[in-house]
Formats: sequence, structure tokens, C-alpha cells
Amino acid sequence: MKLIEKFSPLFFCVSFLFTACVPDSKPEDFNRFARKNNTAVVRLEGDPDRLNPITTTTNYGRQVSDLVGLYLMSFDPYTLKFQPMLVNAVPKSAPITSGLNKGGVAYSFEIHPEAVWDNGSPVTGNDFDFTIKTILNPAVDAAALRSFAVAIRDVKVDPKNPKKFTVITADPTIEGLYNLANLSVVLPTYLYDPKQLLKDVSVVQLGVSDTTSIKNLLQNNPQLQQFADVFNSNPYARDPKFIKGCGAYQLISWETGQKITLKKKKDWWGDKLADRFPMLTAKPEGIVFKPIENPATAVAALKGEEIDAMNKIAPEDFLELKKDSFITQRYELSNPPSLTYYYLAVNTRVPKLADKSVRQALAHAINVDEVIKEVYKGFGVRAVTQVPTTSELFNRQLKPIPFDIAAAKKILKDGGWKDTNNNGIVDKNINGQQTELSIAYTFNGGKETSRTLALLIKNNARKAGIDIQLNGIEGRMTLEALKKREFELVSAGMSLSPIWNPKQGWHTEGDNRTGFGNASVDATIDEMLNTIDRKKRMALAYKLQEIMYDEQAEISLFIPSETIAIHRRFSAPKTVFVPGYIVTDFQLKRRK
Amino acid sequence: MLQYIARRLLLFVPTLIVISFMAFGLRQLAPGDPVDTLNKSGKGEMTGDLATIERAYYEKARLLQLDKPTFYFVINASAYPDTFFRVVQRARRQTLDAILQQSGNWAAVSHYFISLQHLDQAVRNLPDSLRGETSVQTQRNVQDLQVTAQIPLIKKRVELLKQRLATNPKLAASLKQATANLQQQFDLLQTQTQFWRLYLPSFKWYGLDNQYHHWVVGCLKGNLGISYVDGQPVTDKIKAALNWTLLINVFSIFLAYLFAVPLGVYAARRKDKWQDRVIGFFLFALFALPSFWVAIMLLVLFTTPELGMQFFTVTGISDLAEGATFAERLTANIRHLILPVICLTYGSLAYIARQMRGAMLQTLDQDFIRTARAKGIPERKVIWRHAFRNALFPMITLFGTIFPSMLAGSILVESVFNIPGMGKLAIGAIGQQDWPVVYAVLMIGAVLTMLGILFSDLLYAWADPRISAT
Repeated sequence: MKLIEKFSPLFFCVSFLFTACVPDSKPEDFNRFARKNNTAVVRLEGDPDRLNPITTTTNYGRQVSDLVGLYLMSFDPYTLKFQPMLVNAVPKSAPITSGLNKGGVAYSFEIHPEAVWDNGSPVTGNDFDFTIKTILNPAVDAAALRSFAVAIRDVKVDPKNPKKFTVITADPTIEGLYNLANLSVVLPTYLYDPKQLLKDVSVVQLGVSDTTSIKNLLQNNPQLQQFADVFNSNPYARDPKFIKGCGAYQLISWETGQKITLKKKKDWWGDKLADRFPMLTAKPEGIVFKPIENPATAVAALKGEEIDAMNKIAPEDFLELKKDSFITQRYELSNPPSLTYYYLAVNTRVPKLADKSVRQALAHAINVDEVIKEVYKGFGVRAVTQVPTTSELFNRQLKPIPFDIAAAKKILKDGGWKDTNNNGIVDKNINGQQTELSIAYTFNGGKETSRTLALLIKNNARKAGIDIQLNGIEGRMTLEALKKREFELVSAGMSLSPIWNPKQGWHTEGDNRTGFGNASVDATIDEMLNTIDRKKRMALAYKLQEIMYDEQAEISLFIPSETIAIHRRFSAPKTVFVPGYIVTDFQLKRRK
Repeated sequence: MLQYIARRLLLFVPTLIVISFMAFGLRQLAPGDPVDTLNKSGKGEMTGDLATIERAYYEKARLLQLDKPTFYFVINASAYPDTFFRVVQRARRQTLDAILQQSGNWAAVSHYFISLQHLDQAVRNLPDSLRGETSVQTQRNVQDLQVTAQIPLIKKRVELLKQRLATNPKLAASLKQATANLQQQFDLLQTQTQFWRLYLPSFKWYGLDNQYHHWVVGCLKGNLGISYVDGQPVTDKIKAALNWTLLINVFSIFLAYLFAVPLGVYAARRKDKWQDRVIGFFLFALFALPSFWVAIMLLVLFTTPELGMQFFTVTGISDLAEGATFAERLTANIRHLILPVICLTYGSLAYIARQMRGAMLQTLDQDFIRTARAKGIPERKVIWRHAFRNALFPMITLFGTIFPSMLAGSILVESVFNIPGMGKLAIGAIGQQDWPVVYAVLMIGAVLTMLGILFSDLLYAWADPRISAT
């Protein structure tokens, strides 16, 4: 418990939340609205692949299955604190100091006594144990979730009170708790394993990771494959009879490519607890998801009041909609910041880019404010490092690098770069070769915004004596170029988690695509991730950001804003989580 | 006639085989890796150590049968081993391929790469006492080497690695064997080149256990495979999508002919008069209008209340219960189909009408028409009984081409009007690299096109007794 209390202030203290998340609750004249009911219709950008929370590979599938089931804990979308959901309190933790799991942590949870499945049976620790076993079953199509679950070493259910259980994890960091309590919604054992095929297999047995052990495990326990064959099958991914959970909503139908209909359960057990446990809030009586891929079609559906909530409206369309009185009378248009980060990755393996002065000069030669204004129509805020400026972990001593061509030129001059052949591009002798500062910039050539961004970068860099060669390629190829390290400068974006973990990008054991890394940074990252003490963790985060800021292996661009429209018959608080709103919090307004 | 149809149907087979070859061939050239796309969860990309990620990759690749050879055989340079397909990871295969292109000696390439992996493992297994700046940089070096394909660059990086290790004798001693092995294998890679093998073709036979064979056998059994993306049988997905596409296309073709034929005949009868000019102007205007623009305009004008003409909705097409009849389907959704059908119809209507006018004019200029008029046969009879039937031939030919072009047009129309048809399915499948669906859409598109052409040929034979359908 104390451990969690120590962690909680680490999460975002987002100042905007105090203003932006307060919904507009004034009464509305419903007569002008095409629909007046308490069913929220939400646009999805694409159709889900599956609605099984374990086997879905898309965010769309997860958005829907998250309404059917419940996690043990989840991030409060407004305070960004990690809060109890299916459990009645943040868990008690106990570091493990001896035995097989030495170095790990044991977390003790208790599920709400009121929590029941649709058949009236109680939700217990056995169901959580079953969920973890399902994920760890190598025959289940859940490789990605398994990569998060491998740290879970055991689940021990209290035989006297099966609502109580302890989870042992090998990962003692704050992320370890997140990865076990927010891994998947808890599945009803009675529905998914009626033959009790997983009953005699334990989490400990399933926790093997080498190929031979996995092979042996499957050979010695044929019921694992038998279970997976059914669990991976189509009915468990699409049929409302098999998509069930203990959440507030039940799946009524899924009409492929058209709509997914959810209805709130009558007398749902969580309603009584929602005052004390805000994560159980479920206000709309029904939720309908409509997959509309084409953005123009989605805007037309918005204008026709066919949908109540939509995000990712193109900036130009958003500005047009704001001028349209018909729309503004019916929709609240807002643009909260999102947990997304855009940057330029610099390949420090390339000799000319291994020179820090080049990266720093380049950062000065990019007019990020102009990019936000011209390319993204003002819908974004400058990023300084990959830590959002609203986070407590953000080092506020660091300021956005100003667009300053003179400073860029000076840095290059100090770094030994001069225009010796008067062609407007600086050059330098590197490893015995006179090298012009010409950098290949790889970007998604199929995207208008990426093309405009590339031109802005090229034009400004040229003023500083840096030649940018544009290499617009197909979107997926930019990712391949990054993976194969076949780039010099590439535009990239990433989703940010409320828990900052720079290991993947900056640690030499991560995929480290920029090629930057040293023992000191590795040690600092490891220490920060393993530090419980809040102040020490903050100090380490600050130090890391100072290094990132100085090195500019990632040139920070900006954090884009969401562009969302929500129907005025609902009051809806905004959040930094994609899509910018939480549909379960849509409150039908009072009628005028 | 039956013999003719049977012969024509038999001719479909080689055409379909060639199309299936092209589909499989194009897949090899398409960018991206479906395994990477699919190996994620609703939570996002995979995380964890590289071994876990690699193992998960192989699991998924095996599940998708991507660990099998693509075809029955391969003809390539003899430098390539017959087991090259077993390098399942696309990015790694490309790296090894690029190195092989500079050496020609597969044994040397594979030994070099294995030595590199051994060194990687040795660095990862270093005791904590040896961990420090040099080990970290060594690890970086080894990781970079695993994605480096150009031999001069490999040389530089191997040198850098040795220089680094030279600064830390203890670490160098610990990695001595692995480093020496890497150097040795890299030297062999450079010296034991076999460039001639890159120019000597070789034929490798893989037998029946290949991706193409499994797919073809499945198709012959009526099983088009399982979608990579959602695990649904492709047959089910196609069936659901085809219903919509056929519905709107059949309507569009019917309406296009229904209006275009009399319009064309009328324009021909009024040749060079103001009616012909007005019709011609409008037909050219219709033909020139880009369908994406018309689709968006129809959407904005008739589905939003902006101009007070919100007669239709954007969304709302719904699945009907299994076994619903065509009539039930039509009645339930006709309102949602009007705009897409208009959008698919206007272009072909304009084209068919112009063709009809041209054919009619040509026929009206024939001697037998003049003879009919001279005999005093009423003009209406001359037009419809004598001229029309002869002018129909180009229309019948057009039918064979109009159907495939409408199928292609469905891609845009279905996307704009949010109809879950074949066009939308095809675009989604291509974007998500859902190859079993892409193949199926391609093959069904080809079959429908060929059936359209066959149908037009049969109509031709029916309309013109001079044509023999034998």
C-alpha cells in the first residue's frame, strides 16, 4: 500500500485537467437535436479485428472489449493515477527477499465483494489466475500480451476467501504493477473454459520462455492446445454469446464494417460502487461504435448527427467545423493535448551525425512553431524531451530549443564545420575525407503533412548551411528503414505512457534505433526504473532528460492535440488518453 | 452452345493460374512484414528481450505458414541455398541477401552471421563485474552489425569493435574466442568469395509442401484460407462483401443500360439538332466528372442538413439475418444504396449512351436502313426493329468491360459511402497485408470479369445469328 502511495504522485499532475476535464453541464434545448436518447454513438476509424480482449491486435478491439470487462486497476483518465477498478483497494505490496522469486514483489488484491458475472457467480481470484494462464498458454494467439505477462511468476488465491489473491511478479518496478493489473480485463472462467482444461496447469508451469521448454510443455499438456483451439476460434472473437465480462456493458451485436452495439446491463453491480470507485462509472444506457474509415464520410456523418463523438478530425476540417453554426450548436469542439510525441530520430552511427554539434545545430535550424502553425494549424504544443511538459517527471529547467539560424551556424562553426568551397553547405574533414553536411531525411511521402514538414525542414536547414536531401517513401518503409537502421534523419512518432520508460529507445539493450547509448545512460535508466523513492526518481529523470537534451539524438518536435467533437446533449470531460474522451463518462444533460 | 461454354470455362483455368502466380509474386515485392503487423496486442507493440520477440515472430510466422517455401520451385543464383526460405524474418533475410550479393558464398555468409550471434550472446551473458562503458558500446556494435549489409561498413564496424575491446583487456579476454571467431569468419567471407555463383542459375525443387500449393489445394476444396487479421474464413468475408458489391453493381449496370440506350438512340435520331447537342453536352460533362468528387458532393448535399436536403444517411446499412432473401435485403437497405448506385451509374451511363449514339448513327447510314425507309416502313419500326438490333453489338461488347470497371469503381464508392463490400475489403486487406484476403479478392474479381466477358460473348451469339457459338 505504502509503495503505491509513494508512486501515485509520480503520475501526471496535469494542470490542464483542472480546466479541460470539467464538463459543460448547463441544460440544453433538446428540440434541435436529431437524437435525444442516452445512447452514445462513437466513430471508430476502422473495424476491430476481434472483440476477444486477449487475441485482439487492434486498439479498436480493445476499446470495445474494455467496456465489456474490467481490469484489476487502470489509470484514472483525468488524474492519471493508477486506481482500483475490479479490486477494492490499491494492493498491498511485499518485496520478496528470498527463494526462487527473490528480487520480485508480491501484490495482494481483493476483488469487490459485489462483483459478479452475468450468471450471478462471483468474480474471484481464480478468474484472474485463469486469465493469466490463458495469456501464458503458448498455444493461445497472444504473443504480444505474453511478452508483458512473462514477469508474472505466480497467482495464489486465498482458499478461504477466493476474492483475495496474491500475484508474484519478478518485475519490482512501478511498471511491473501496471503490467499485471492492467494487462487484460479479467475473463469469466465458466464461459471460456467450461471443460476446465486449464484447471490443473499453474502459472508457475506456464512461465517458461525457452523454445525447448515450451515444446515440452505443449507435449506434456495436450489440453493447452485443445483449449487454445477453441479460445482462438471465431465464436470467441465475434459472437456476443462468448464476448462477456463483468463490466457494465454487454455486447448485443456486431455488424461487420457497420456497427457494434453495446447495452448497459440492468442493475449492474458496479453502479452501487461508482461513487467510491470512479473507474466503475458507466453513464450511457447504450454505446454504439460505428467504423467509418473515410475521414470525409465521418465528417458528413457528424454533420448529419449520425455520430455523437469523433476524434482525429483533420485540422482543416476542425477549423471549418468551428465556423459552422449548425455544428457548434450541436457539438462541443475541443482540442485537448494527447499522449503522443513527434520527433526526428538522428542516426548517430553515421559519422557526420555522430558529431553532437551537427545534431544541436539541426535542432536550432528547425522552426517547430512554424511547423505547428502551418502544418498542424496550431493543434499542438512544443515538446522539449519525450517526457510530456505536463508530467511531474519533466525537467522544467529545460526550455524548447529556439529556432535560431545564427546559433545553428555558430554551433557548426565551433564544431569545425565551414563552407570551404562556397557552395552554401558547410563541410568538414571526417576520417580523412572532406564531407559536405548533406543529410538524407526519410519521411512518409504519401502524407501531405509529412511532405510539408519535410519542405519546411529543408528550407530552414539550408539557411544554416545544412543540406537536407528529401527521401519520401511509403509509410511502412519508414518503419523498416528505422528497424534496419538505414536512415540518417527520419520523422517518427510514439505513444506515451503515463509511466515514463525510456529503456526501449535509449538503453543499449533496447532497440535503440538512434544508436545513441553509453554505460552511464544505461545505468541511469536502470536506476530510475528501479527506484521507488519519488525524489530520487525525479532527480534521475531530470538527469536523463538533460543528457537527451544535450545529445539531440532525438530532436523533439511537438505533442499534437486531439481534435474532437462531442454531441451537446452529453457533458463529457476530456482526457489526454486517446481518443480524448471516455465514453462511459458521457452524462446526458438536463433538458431545458 | 454448351460445348462452347465448357471450352470457354476451361480457358479460365490457365488465366486464373497466371493471376495467382502474379499475386504471389507481387506479395514478395510488397513492402512491410505481416508478422510484425500482427504481433501486437490492443495494448501496442511487443516489448521485452529480443529473444522473446524473435520467438514470438517465429510462432506467428509458423502459424501463417510463412516458414514454408513460397512455390514448388525456385530458379535463382546457385549462391542461394535451398533453405533460404527458412530465414523467416523479412528484415534479416534482406540483410543476408545483400551480404550474399557481395560474396556469392552462402556458407561463408551464414558462418559469419552465426559467429555474430554467438558474440551477441557472449556479450549478453557477461558477468556484472565486466559490465561498463566498453561492454555497452560493444553490445551496440554487435547490434549494429546484425543489421549491416554492406561489407565495407561491416569491416569498419568490426575494426571499431576490436579497437573498443583493446581498451579493456579483461573484457577482451572474456570475449576473445567469440571475437576471434567473428574476425575469422568475416575474413573468410571476404576472401572466399564465389561471385561466379551469383551468375550461375540453379533450379531448386521444394515439392508440394509450399505456401502456394496449400493455398491452391484449399481453394479447390472451397477453402480460401483464413484471414491473417481477424482469423475469419476468407470465404465468409468474401461472401458477406460480395453481396453488397454485386447488389450495387447489378443495379448500376441495369440502370446505366436502361437510360443510356434510349438516350443514345434518341440523340442519334436527332443528330446535329439542338437535342443532340444538349444531350451530348450533358453526357460529356457527366463522363468528365471525377467520381471521387461526385461521391463527396452527393454525400455533403444529401446526407447533411447544410442545404436542407438531408434525404439519406451515411451509415445504416445493416446485416440481415442469415437466409434473408434478396428482396428482404433490398427493401431494408434501398435508401442507403441510392447515392452509391447513382455514383457508380452516371459515368457508365454517359459512356454507353455515347457508344449507343455512335453505333446507331453507323447503322442508320447502312443501305438496308435506306431500303427500309424507301419501302415506307414507319420510322419508329425502322429504328427499333431494323437499326436497333444491329446497333446493339457494340453495347454487348461493352458489357464485358463495364462490369470489371464498375468493380474497380466500387473501391472508391464503398469507401466514401461506408459500404462493407469487396472494394472496401480489398483496400483494407492490402493495407493490413492480409494476403489470403487479397488473393481471394483478386481471384474472384478475375472470375467475375471473365464471366462478364463470357456473358457478353454469349449475348453476342444470341443477337447475331452469323456468330457461331461452337
